[in-house]
Amino acid sequence: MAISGRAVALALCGVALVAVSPAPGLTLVLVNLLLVVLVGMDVAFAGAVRSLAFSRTGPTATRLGQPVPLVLAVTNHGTRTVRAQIRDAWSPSAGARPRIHRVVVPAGERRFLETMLTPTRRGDRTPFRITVRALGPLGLAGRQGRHHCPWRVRVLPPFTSRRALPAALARLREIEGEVAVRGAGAGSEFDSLRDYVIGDDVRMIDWRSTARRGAVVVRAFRPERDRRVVCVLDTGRTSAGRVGDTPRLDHALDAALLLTAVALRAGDRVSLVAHDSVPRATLPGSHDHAYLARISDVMAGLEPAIVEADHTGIVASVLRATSRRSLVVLFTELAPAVIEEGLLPALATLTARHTVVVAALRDPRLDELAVGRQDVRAVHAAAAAEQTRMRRRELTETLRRRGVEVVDEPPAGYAAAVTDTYLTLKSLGRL
Amino acid sequence: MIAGPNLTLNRRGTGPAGPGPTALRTGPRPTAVRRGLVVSAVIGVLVLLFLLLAVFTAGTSGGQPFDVGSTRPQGTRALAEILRGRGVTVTPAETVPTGNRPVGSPGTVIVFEPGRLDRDALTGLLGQVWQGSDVVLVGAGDAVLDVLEVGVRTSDDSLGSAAAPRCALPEAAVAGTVPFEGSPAYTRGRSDPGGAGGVGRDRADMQVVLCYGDPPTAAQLVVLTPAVSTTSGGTAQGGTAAGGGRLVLVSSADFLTNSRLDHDGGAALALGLLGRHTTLTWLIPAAASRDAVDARGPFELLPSGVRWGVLQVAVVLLLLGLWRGRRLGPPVPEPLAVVVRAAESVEGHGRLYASARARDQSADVLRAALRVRLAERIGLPLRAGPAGTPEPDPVALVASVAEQSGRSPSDIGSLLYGSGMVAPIDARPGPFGRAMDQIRSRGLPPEPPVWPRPGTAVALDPAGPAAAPRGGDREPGRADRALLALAHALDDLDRQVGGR
Repeated sequence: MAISGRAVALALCGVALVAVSPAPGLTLVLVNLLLVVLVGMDVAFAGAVRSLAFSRTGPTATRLGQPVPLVLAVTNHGTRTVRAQIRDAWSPSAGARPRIHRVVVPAGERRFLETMLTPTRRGDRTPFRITVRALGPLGLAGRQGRHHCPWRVRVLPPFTSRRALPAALARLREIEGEVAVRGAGAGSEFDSLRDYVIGDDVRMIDWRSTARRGAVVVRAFRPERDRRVVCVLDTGRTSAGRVGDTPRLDHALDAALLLTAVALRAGDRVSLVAHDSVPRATLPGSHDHAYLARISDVMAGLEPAIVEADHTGIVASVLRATSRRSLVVLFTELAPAVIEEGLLPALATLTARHTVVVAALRDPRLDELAVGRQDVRAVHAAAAAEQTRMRRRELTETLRRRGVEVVDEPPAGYAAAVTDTYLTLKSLGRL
Repeated sequence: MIAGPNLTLNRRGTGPAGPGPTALRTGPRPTAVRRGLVVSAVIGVLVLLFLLLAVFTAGTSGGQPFDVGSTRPQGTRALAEILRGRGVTVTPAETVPTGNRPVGSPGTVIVFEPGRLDRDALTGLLGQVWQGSDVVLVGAGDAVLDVLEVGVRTSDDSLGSAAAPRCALPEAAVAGTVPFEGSPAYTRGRSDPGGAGGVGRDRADMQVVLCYGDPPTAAQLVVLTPAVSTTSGGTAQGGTAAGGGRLVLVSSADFLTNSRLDHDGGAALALGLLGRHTTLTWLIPAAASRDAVDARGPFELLPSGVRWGVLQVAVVLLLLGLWRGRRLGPPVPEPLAVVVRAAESVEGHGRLYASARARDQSADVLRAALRVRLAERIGLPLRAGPAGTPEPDPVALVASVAEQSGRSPSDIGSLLYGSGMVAPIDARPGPFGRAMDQIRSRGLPPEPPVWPRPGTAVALDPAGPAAAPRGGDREPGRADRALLALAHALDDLDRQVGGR
């Protein structure tokens, strides 16, 4: 039961009627009696909310920032026409528009409503409830009820670093020797034998085949294929900090997606481990082409947790996830206290078996603060920023001494830098 | 409304790396603001229209009704002139004449709005009736009649449409039809069922004649005559017991106005009622006095329709509440994301330095950072320094920097490896002095004439005894500028060696 603005307007007309009437008291009673009767009739003749049935169609996944058109079908199984206001309520971050649909569904018919979602957050978005208000023929009042029509839209990471993909793939082709450049491709895996051309390294001559063929033959190499890459995402408290407008975790997801796309093209297997104090997600490696979609899907549900990352646990997870020698890319923050107490002790077991890259995001705000000279406060802030930068530099040196590659880049080139490190290691045959 | 379409979850108002607050932007949406503007504009225009209308209507309706000097349609100058022509002295008044009229010279008093008079004035008028005067009350209401206690009350019965006198009053018979307009109508009090033919007696002391309208249930002219006149010598007229004073109740005085006086028998009735004595007091009470018999508050002055209308407005408000209060479903919860800027701890660190005036700490850090930066740029190896941080070899660094910048090694040495800031400034002209000069010439504010008293700030210095003897916090203003100067000097050196 709900009344509409029309009922209020009617009562407001009653004010004028009462004011000018010669018998105002009687008029008042009559006006309100009439109102009550009309409202009662309207409620009585309104279509039944219970007899409506809802169903949805539309996409179930989208990238962040892209709108999702969902169609909500309303079927009236009742005997009366339903003039309905329908609110298809989603959580605010789903950005559902319009807020209220107005639709007339005659008995036994079906109508389609379009709800446009514009999600503003990553993760799963589900509808909350469908509230229906069926107004009577006069539009004065109506019945209200609710329905449930479950659905789920998974909002995937936006993958904004996709524009860096062509450049990375071009470099990959160069490494693989697929482009017309002088010399063979880099790498250490034996590929084929070919005739010697002037300029080839004499150390590459395969003397046995040369003897067999009577012409000088060299061995051609190519980068190793079917290597293992493990993307390790630290989802602990440091990943919640926002650099620019986006949390560190989202920058890391973006970089991991680019790395995955390139590594898949290079024929490597990528697996994913997300961990803070407990493992959050694990996806074993694979080659297939749907893998990028699968990894996006897993990433969609990751959120920063306000807990300290357990680096020992992370290392254990990685060791569990892969048995062969792999490239372990650890997306984390170079917070001195955290790394010194957590990661460094556990690092030895990891570097003994795997090649480790620590990919950290540098905050441009630090550089901004470090050049502040407007007043004394700015100089103090600059000192604080310099101190942080020195600690990071120090930490980077420590990690490098232990045989860990460190990427420390601002957001603009972060994903590309991580992928470049991977390609460099691949071309050096260090995978 | 869902929990805030105004809630921006992933965006801040500032630029990508700006130092904006972490608070979320909330506030009304632009559409709501626009709607509010439109509504207020419409209300403003309506108020303006009302004011204009009020001014115009006020301009057309000037002049006091029933004013004996007024020639407007509502005025009564015509009647006054006629009466004067017949030898009647017309005296306008705003209060009841206080001096007792000498016995034997009765006059006529016509009172408009008798409800504005107080109880004493009304009983005084009634006394004048018993002394032989004529008193005409225009539009007397129940309150006035209750005070007078003459056995007449107002009637709710409908008036007949006929304007005939329908009574035996001589003046009425002479005048014939008179178009009375307006309420109230009068009838006899309930205690007195009334006699036939419009003539009856009340309390055995006043004779009542009901005329016009629909007597006896609803009359518009009532003449009450004292049954026993205290003054003798009058001739009996048309059945009235005495020729002395009489009390006349008229429902409205429209027939006295300039515009209506010549309609039907209006003039004849007016002359008959008002022209019996040689003096006529034309009493229009100025305003209701505090103890007026018919004193009413502002709410009572409103028509009853308005009062019931207010009740209906309450009903409307109730419905409005029901309408707006019934939402289309509850607000939807949103698990909020953590919003914390990554650089927040660094900024807090800087503020901590500033609030503790840890200038020496800041200076040391800035120096160390520049040392590392210069060493990397020049290509000197870093090795673990005394504090465990990587440091270049001091001698090599100072030598190469001095060579590249063309400055003396002692300058460079004190700049990169000096400690504190204040001591070298005024003692001897060194890099700090020059830097200070540069800073001053850049238009920094002059030194304050009175230094803040030392001591209070020193207690907060967290650097403790290690930093205190360096004297960086003896004079806060000067020390702050020294730190700024040091920072700029370091920047200069940085630039000279090829950075930035």
